[in-house]
Formats: sequence, structure tokens, C-alpha cells
Amino acid sequence: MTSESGITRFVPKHEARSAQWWVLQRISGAFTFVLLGLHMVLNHFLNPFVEAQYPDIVRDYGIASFRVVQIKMANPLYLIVSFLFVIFLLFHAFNGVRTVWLDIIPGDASRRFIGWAVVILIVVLTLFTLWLNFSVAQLPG
Amino acid sequence: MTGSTEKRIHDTQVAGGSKPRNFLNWFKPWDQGIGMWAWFIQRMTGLFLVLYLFAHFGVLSTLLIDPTGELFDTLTISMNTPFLHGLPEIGPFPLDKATSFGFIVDFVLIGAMIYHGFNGIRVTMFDFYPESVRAQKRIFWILTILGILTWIIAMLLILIVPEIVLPGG
Repeated sequence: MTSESGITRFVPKHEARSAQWWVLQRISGAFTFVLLGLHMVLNHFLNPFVEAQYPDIVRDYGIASFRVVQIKMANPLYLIVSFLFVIFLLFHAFNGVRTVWLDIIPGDASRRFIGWAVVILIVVLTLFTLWLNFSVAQLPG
Repeated sequence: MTGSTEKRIHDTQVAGGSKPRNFLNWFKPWDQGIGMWAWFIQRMTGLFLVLYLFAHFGVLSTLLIDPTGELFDTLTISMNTPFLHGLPEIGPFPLDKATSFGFIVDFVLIGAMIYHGFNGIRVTMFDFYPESVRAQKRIFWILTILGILTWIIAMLLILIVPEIVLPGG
């Protein structure tokens, strides 16, 4: 950095390509903020998907019971919202882990390794959540 | 034009986290200002939330292990069973319910989520409006107050809503 700015120690660790991860972390963070709030409200406080159709099941078993979870997961709108939530949350979480990792272990080889590890973790865990949702939704109620 | 506030922030961030030999500096945020505390708690809550994510997927996996749902309901019921009874009921808030493993986990979890989310808004604000960095301390305390209010409201709502109906209840 120039002496004009006075910042002499702020030197990027890697090439400028890392900037895309930084921007994506902000975008995924914003989506996660909104969708996590929705997730908490839907799963703790009220659930219009279930409560409108099956008010007695919610009353008799509770909002966190298996029956209610199953009815929720069978709803296509819930599936779409969950899928978006999982994608943004997993990206935000593991890109955050990547940032911490690169603070401790810098270098090109390390960056390539953790980059691929993050991609694989996101794909595997997204497939896991989809499999979970479809399996539970298809069980006999 | 770069002011001294920006310089201090960049110095703090770099001194705190960008070199392996400075790793231990993460764990001594004192005497480095409120921004360093904010950064430290942001990082710790972030790592905690990633750990929680795996625990969450682990509990949800019981839906696959036992398709009848009995295992899942047993887990949910045991996590939500109070271990103290006979506490007073203040208005609509049964204090018994606050003494369960699930409530304590929710308390820590929701606190970490609210901190991480609100501080994330603060950091993103600095990225989009660099001028706001000059007010970073005031913004931190305003968001802290808003966050604590949100936290209290969320925990009170959890006390009211029946998450799981306990056997015999």
C-alpha cells in the first residue's frame, strides 16, 4: 500500500481472485439471515403449512413432533424454501471455515485443498438433506 | 482520504488474524478495542454454529434410522423435559420449561445466531458504506441492544409455544 493511505501492513495474502469468495460470503450471509429467521419461526413458533390443515395434530403432538415434521416435509413449498436455505447456509458456513483455515494455514496448496473440500462438503450435505426430506415425506403417516 | 479509524481497523484485523504465528492473538482481544472483540466473538460464534449444524443433522438422522418416528419423538421429549418442577408461572410463561436441556441449548444457540447475524449486518454495512466505519462503536452498541431485545423475545416465545406435547401433559 502507498504511504499516502498510511496502511502499510494490509497486504492481501493471495491473488485478487479471492475477492469473489468474499462477495459471495456477504450475499449468502444476507440470504441466510432471512431464511434462518424464517426457519426458526416455522419450526418453533407457528407453522401455517401444518396448522391450517391439521390443527388437532399440532395441538395433540406439538410443533416439533415427528408427525408434524413429516407433514411439513411433504409440502413442496417447504421443500423449496428448505433447499434454498440449505444451499445458502452450507455455503456461508463452510466458506467461513475456509476463511479461518486460510488464516491459520496460508498458501496456494492449502487454498486449493480447502476450496475443493468446501465444494465436496456442500454437495454431500445438500444431497443428504434432500434425501432426508424425501425419505421422511414418503413414509406412511 | 483514509482516516485513522480505517487504519486502526485494518491494523487490528491484520494483527489479529492473517498470519499463522498471530493465531494466539485471536484469543487476547482485550486492549485492542471493541472492533477486535466483535471480530473475535464473530469468529467463535461462527465456528460454534458450524459444530451445531452437524449436531442438528445428527438428530435429524434419527428420522431415517427409525421410520416410525419413535426414536425422534423420544429424543425431542427427553430434551424438552424440565428437570425442575414447581417453579412459578409468571403470566403466560411457565418457568419449569426453562429448566430443560433443549431450552438451554436453544438459549445458547439463538444467542450465538443473533450475535453472528447482527454483527454480520454491521460488517456488511462497512463494506457497502465505508463512511459508516467511523461510527463502528456506536453501531456495535445499538445492534447489541437490539440483539439482546430480540434474544429475550425469542426465548419468551419458545416458553409459550408447545414444541412437543409431553406424555401425560
